[in-house]
Amino acid sequence: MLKQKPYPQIQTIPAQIDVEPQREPSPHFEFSLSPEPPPIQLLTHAGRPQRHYRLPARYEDIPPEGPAPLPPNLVPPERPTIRRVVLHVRDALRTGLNRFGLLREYLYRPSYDPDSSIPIQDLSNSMEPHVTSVDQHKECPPPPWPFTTMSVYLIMEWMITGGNQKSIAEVDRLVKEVLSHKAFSPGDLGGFSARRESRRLDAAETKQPETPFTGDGWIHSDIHISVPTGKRDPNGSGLNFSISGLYHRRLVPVLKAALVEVTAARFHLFPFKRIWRLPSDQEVRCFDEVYTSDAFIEDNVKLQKQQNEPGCRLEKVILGLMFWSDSTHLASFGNAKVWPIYLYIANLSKYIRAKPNLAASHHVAYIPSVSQR
Amino acid sequence: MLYYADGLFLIAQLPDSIHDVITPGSEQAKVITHCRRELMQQVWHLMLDDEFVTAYEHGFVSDGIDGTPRRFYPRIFTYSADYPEK
Repeated sequence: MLKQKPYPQIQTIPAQIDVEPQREPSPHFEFSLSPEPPPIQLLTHAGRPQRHYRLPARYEDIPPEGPAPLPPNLVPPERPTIRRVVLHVRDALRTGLNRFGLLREYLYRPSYDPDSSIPIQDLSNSMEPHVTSVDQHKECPPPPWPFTTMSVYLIMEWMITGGNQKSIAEVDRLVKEVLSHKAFSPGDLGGFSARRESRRLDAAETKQPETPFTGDGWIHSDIHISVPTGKRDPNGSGLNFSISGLYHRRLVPVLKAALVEVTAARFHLFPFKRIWRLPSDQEVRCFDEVYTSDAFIEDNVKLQKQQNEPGCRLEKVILGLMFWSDSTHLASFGNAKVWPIYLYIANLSKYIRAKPNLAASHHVAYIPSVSQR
Repeated sequence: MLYYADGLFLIAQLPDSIHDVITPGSEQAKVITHCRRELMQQVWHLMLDDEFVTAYEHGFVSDGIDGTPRRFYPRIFTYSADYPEK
């Protein structure tokens, strides 16, 4: 047997780590007018002056910034109105420059500015939690549907919910939530069979219509077209042919619904020119959104000159529509497809409009494709 | 079925029964193209209903944005779609 030589006891000496206060690298976008105070000379452990590290310019990540705010409204809105004089008051205004040299120029003072408070997460492309579609809710008739009485409903609800194996807690729940419920009366349970009621529930669930067109204002229409026959027909223009299966929604209710949705708070109601001012004071027009385009601006000028509706003194606003249509395959295999027409609201910034999880598009019509011979 | 190169398969396809009413002949392809165009026009005719035209001309009032009622005039700025008759 080898005599084990005892290992020398190694004493672990904790390494002395001097935590020296490091200077935070100052962000480069900070413009301070006052001269910085002279930095305090920090010394390393060895007594040498500490080096100042700064990131190379390519690592500079300037956080995005919204447009500069509107100047405050100094003109009182009330003005003496002179009869019989049509006065198109143009209250043109320019905002200040933001960090990137961008400004907005309005022909008319906007009464609503969605850019006044944009949260930083809406300016960047950071990951967002996926929001499941909002219109997936299925409406069921109120209880005791699908059962005949409220007592059966309560018993069946107790059976389906809660624990799988009924325990003491479950029996407590039975007494508290079912037997003592004011809608419960034992007389309703004559001839009760849990199996039969379960079957009734299953049948009721499958009976719920599954098409996406139930509710929400979908209309089913037939289309009539006239087919030329090639023969001279003195009393009509061709043969009448009917195509069924167009699902569509009325446009105006869709627009009204779009105006009360969450995204409506981001609608740009008033067009403007986005202008980039170079350091040399030269100005360049930027075209980035529908509401900064000439078409929108011209339409708005035209609308403001248009006669008001009788008795209406409300502000007139353009609601820009963008239609888009393309056939869509529904499955990887097979020919199941629909031909939808989508509607986007042009008043919404493209950065919001194009985000699929914000559900900014509105389906207006589905035109079924019928197989080709 | 959509982007077939032969140009026979279309977005808005007519039902097969359309062939029962088209007289066979050399003009058959032209007639089908015409029918597809008609179908597209009729779809838009249905969509741009009287209610929409009234709203286009006279606007409609909504206060959904910030509680202030405003009169909205819908205007169509873009329309991007394939040619259904091609």
